[in-house]
Amino acid sequence: MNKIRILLITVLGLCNLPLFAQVKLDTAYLQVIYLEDYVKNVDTKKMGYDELFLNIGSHISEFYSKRESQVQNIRDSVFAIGGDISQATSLTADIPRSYQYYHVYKNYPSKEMLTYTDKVLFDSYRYEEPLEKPVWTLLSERKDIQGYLCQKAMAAFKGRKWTAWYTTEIPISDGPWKLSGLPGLILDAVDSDSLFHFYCVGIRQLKESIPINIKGKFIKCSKQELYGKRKQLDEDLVAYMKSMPQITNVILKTPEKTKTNKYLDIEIQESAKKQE
Amino acid sequence: MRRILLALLGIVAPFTLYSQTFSGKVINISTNKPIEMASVSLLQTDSMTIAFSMANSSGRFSVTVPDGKKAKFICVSCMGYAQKWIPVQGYNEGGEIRLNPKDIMIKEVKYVSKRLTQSGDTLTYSVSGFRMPHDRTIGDILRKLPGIEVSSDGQIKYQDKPINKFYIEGMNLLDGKYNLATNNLSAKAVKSVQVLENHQAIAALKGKNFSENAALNLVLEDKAKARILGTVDVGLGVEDKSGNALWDNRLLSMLFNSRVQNLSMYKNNNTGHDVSSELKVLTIDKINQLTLADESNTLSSLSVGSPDLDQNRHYNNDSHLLTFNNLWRIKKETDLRVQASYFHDHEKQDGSSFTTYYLPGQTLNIDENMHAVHSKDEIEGSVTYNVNNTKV
Repeated sequence: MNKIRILLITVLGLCNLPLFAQVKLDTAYLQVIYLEDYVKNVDTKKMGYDELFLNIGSHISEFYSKRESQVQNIRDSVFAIGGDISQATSLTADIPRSYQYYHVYKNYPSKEMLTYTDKVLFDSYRYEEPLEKPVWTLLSERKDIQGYLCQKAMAAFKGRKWTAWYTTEIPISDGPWKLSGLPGLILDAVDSDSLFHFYCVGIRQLKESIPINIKGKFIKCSKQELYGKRKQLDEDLVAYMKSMPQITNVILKTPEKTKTNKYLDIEIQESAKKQE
Repeated sequence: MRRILLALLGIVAPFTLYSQTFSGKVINISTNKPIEMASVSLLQTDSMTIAFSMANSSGRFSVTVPDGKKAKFICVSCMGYAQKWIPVQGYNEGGEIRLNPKDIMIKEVKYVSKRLTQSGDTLTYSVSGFRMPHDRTIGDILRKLPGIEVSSDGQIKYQDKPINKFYIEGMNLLDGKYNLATNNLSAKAVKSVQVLENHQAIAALKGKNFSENAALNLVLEDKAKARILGTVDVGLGVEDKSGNALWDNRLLSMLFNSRVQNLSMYKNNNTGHDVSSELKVLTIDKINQLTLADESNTLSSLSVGSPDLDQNRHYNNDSHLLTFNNLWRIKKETDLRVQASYFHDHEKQDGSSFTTYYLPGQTLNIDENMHAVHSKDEIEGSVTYNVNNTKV
């Protein structure tokens, strides 16, 4: 794996592009901080852990990993002053990473639409889909989360059964990841297999205005295309790299160990469902 | 009689059980404009939400009472407006609900990134924020913490000053020999590392005598507490031709309880790792006491000069280390600690030098060979009864 990583770094060095344009979409007035415990590998039960932000603006909200955006910001600023990939790597070496690159923009590009961006190896992809609201069943169970009185709700959504706890004390119909559609903010959400668990640890009213940006150059694609790429990358890195047009040859110093990694997506895709 | 009642119910029930729907329009009281995305919830008497709906772009909404439920209030809320509760009885069906614009103050929930927090004189480093997959012992983590420095012999310094106490769960089990913990306690067992700044260990002197040094406390994960943690490491190797064997073994057991703590270990190796450093007293208060009593230099032994290389490159040893540390917390401020250790080392040193002097008329060759064997047995034991309270 290390050898592959070295190889990756040299390839990255070649396609070290200047800063991309960024488009300001909205200004956030509220920031909700979630932690996420999730299963990275179904077979080994390896757990991942991430810190994520939900920045809520007057029209648009953005949900993303704080850790990965931190790493990205450091890299961008290193490249901006003419640094190279090895400097950027050494500066970010100590930051725990989750490799969850996705951003979810709700109500963008227009009302009732959702934009999803993700990075697969070197390329950033983006797709749009209607902002689907789960059909929630409200349950008469309540608990206190971070000083907010929350009520329980359940819904089947994107292939999984979600249990959410929301508070009407914050009348914003939003939540972590693609979840929304309750009369208040979702402070805790977990799927029925406990593979993905988001829980709120902080809420901040933003005095300094944090812009909601869409940053970078994206390849427009469909959800299925992105899913296919993520799956291929996760399950067979070498084959994925060989399929990339900018890489002419992949030389592995160690003989190929075909480690079959089962890709686990938070969203169960229609195509994958049929296969199963 | 009962039959008549049932029959009556049968006539009445269909009229009361039909699902009730509330609809209307949400508008801003000061501008008379519709409020989009306002959420309209139906609440029971215990204020539990039973159904809800969102107002559309013209502010209209319609919400139905689910079967078998009874709505008591209609609650209308939206960010930027004061929440409004309307009793169902007084609701004007199809009418307008006017909301007052109001800045909603959201109760903030403080979240400090988990890596580092400070409260008073205590600085807390969260281990999970620093742990990388290759880190094994808590010592590996300590080396990375900002503000903390670990020297090559394992001494921990906070802001360039050696620490004065090393606690595990607030108890001073090792009394300065904290390399035993930093080299052997798994990083996964530790939840956080606390630095207690300006730590005065003697309760009676607290607030009277200022200390410049900090103390360190390890807070353990719940799963590491109140159970015996055992580790067995075995490392063996045999050289092809000479048949020389190498070994590096460890047998370790630890227990951290609220009343008893124990760390017992047997370690041996001949791979050049200096295990005696684990018995070194490193806290600053103990070092000061020891320098007076140290008599190890009264008799000196023959030694071959050491080359300018890491010690583990030239240290030809056969070391065995056995240690037992136990602490009982008898009362809140009273501890009894028993420490015992045995260290055996058999070290071989070989040195040779060859010098040639070119003198007029003759050449002088000096060939010097030295072979030294050091054998060391150290037994150390201590029993400490410590009462630490504020009474003088």
